[in-house]
Amino acid sequence: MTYMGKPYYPLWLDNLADDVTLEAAAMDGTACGAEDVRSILVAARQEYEHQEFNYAGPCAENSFLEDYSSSVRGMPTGVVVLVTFNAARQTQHVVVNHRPRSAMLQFSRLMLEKFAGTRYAKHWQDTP
Amino acid sequence: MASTYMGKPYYPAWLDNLADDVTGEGPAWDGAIQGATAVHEVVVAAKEIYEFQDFHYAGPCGESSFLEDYTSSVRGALLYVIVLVTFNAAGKAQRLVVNHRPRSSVLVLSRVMLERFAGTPLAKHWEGTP
Repeated sequence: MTYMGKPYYPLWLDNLADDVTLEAAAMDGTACGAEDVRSILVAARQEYEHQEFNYAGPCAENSFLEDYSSSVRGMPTGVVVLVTFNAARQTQHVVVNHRPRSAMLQFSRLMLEKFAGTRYAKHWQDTP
Repeated sequence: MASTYMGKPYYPAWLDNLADDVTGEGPAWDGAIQGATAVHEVVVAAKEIYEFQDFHYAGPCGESSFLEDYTSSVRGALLYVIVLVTFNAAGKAQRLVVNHRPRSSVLVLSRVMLERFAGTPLAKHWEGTP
């Protein structure tokens, strides 16, 4: 996981608000709460075979943008993540966008496999 | 179709400033749409398909990008959208990434776009939508 040739770690992931929310192109519904959001994001990161960041930095007044290329089970996947902070500078809202459509649907199926039988599975059920 | 930001009509100025070799990508289609004519045609079609656009933010992002964050709907399905526009050194829109969510609404939009572009060279981007 590199940005400008150096290792990169998303610090916002360690600074989630208690009532943080997560939405995504590959999900239905909204995941709520630090425990749920962290569990989903950590699982998602395990599926990436690499992450090459084109940009990771401030966006507008209180947001942070990540724009990276990855691959999941050999399929090239582009990702844009928008993180919005609250007044206490904690991560309040996360939106994760995978593309193209085939990669987004593959990712959704993978997450359903991963979370089958858990309370999180509802976000990926019925993925075609 | 009403398109408003902070209570006022909004028009994306970048749409009239596309680089000749601009690309358009997103979770609602496969492949990258290439070139100003094709990207313009697809964006205009999507705007016609949206039932409204209610912008929460439209402004700079980083040094050379522009972000739009809006809510919309397509055939009654709520659609949340984040658009990332990256400019080239000449200030023209070089790369467009249109991010729709949630998944069910992405697929509704993809099917509607396939209907809209059926029989055209652009249809390939939405063919195979489940």
